[in-house]
Amino acid sequence: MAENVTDTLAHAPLVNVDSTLVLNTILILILAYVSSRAVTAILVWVSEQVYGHRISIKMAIPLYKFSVYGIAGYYIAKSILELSTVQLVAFSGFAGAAIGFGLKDLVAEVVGGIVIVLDKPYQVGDKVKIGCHYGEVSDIGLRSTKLVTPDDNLVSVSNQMFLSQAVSNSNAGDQEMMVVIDLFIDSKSDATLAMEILREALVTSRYVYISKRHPAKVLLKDCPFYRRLRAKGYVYDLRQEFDFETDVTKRAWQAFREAGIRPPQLASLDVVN
Amino acid sequence: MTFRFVEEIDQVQKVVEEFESGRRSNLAIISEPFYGETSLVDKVVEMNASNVQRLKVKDLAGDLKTLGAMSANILIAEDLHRLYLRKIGGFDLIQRFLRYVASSDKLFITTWNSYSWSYLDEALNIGKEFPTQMKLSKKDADQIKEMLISGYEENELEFIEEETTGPDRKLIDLGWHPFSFRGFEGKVPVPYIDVLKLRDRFSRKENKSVDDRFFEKLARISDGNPGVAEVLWKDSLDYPKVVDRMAEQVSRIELDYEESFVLSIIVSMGHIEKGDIYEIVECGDELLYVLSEKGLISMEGEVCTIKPESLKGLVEHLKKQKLVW
Repeated sequence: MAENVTDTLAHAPLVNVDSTLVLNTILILILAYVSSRAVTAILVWVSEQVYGHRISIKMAIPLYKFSVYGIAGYYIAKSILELSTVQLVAFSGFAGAAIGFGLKDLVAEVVGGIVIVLDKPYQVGDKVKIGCHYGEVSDIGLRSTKLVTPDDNLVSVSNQMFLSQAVSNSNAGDQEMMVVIDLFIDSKSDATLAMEILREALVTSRYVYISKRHPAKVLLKDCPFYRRLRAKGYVYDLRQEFDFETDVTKRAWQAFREAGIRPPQLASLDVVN
Repeated sequence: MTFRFVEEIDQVQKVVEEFESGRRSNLAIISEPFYGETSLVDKVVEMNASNVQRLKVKDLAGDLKTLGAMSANILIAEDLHRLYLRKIGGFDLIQRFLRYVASSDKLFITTWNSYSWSYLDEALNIGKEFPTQMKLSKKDADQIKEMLISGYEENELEFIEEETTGPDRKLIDLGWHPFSFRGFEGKVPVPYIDVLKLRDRFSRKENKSVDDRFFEKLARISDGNPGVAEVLWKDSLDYPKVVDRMAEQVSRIELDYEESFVLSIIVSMGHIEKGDIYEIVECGDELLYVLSEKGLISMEGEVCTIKPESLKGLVEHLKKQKLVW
């Protein structure tokens, strides 16, 4: 097999590596880079203008990038190095095996990137948790995925992490997203009243989005020294996740205080200690 | 002006007849703000005068004893969206009312703002108390024309087209859009296409009469809302002349989320007192001032109202953000 590949490549026409060849190669790579950046910038801008279809439009960005770099690589290999299709395949395998040993992490990242684009475990605009990082996907590049965290930090997560770790996607390509809000109250407080107040805080929030497919719910869990109220509601724009959580929590606690519903008391915790 | 609810009256009467034959199905009449459903209710009351009583929401506010004191078998309650406020504790009255409706053997004919209805149906599932729902439909240009000019003789009115005042609109205009890139902030020119101008350019004016064009425009600006169309008609009518001074809204509404939310509350109520807005949002004063400055609402004393001619644009803006649906 290795002999066949060597034999095939041995019959490849000899190409003089002169300044024109180098310049053409560089020019193609620059064009691919500029075109990728320009189209990305345009698609991001357009997606931010069209409020309801932001994520759908951003889905096209990684697809475009990978296509442009793929075509550029193919064009350089085929037109400039003048390889036939058989030689190109043989060369790819040979080069792949060669760089696979030396640059296996980089190759794994690029392969991870291609799998992300094809399999779509997440898309640009989604809210995801990869490893210990949580945030909105701002870019899926050749070797890494960029996340903007709730603290506005830009985190680059290697694409190969997708292959080796579980990825949690909060919205899976939709713009709407479920937000879960936990509040803890004292065991002696009126849980029914607290649930009613929390549900009203949820459905009257300015950020809530309710429909038959996006219901608002409040669940109760009784623990030994406190009760947990869990509110589940949707926001129409996943960027409102924390505003929604803050709004519901603030207004619910204000109403809890007025209704005499208390947070878990320290005395209960002392018993535990 | 002709009576505009002929089909709807038939539907209401059917509900009344079924009730009289032993099948009760409470009715919700759902319409956009300004639609003018009061004339429909007037007609229902007139047709069933012997066994109908009419309720005002202000009579119900805070106390449902009024309901118990009513002897008629058919109760007509208008503007029931005024029984709630979008805040914690703001559903108490409407929930008590719904419980009364569920436990009563009387027939309830009710009217609701369509945006409040959609919200309450998701938040409180009010639809189950009102199994028969009648959504008052949008009217097309011919229906609006018939409604408004059927009382006039042919050729009694003279329709005059007048260029709308204001700056001349270009087909393609440049707007400046702010952008930031790696810490650098600036503005870039972005071309906007005036869709209305484009449509005007390609529409075949020669095939239509001036009055047909007037009513098409009226239907478009009012979005088929007969109440809004009537307001615009009154502004245009200078008997015997009808002068088209209606300006199409082309500008985009630029509001932040908080301002849009307050606007959605006002649209869902039609009109609302300032004090109620203050109970729902903090800084209500500032938000109302911004909306008023932008010409989206009008303030009369303590009451804020949306402007009828702005309704279509406001609803489109709010629907994009799913603040109304």
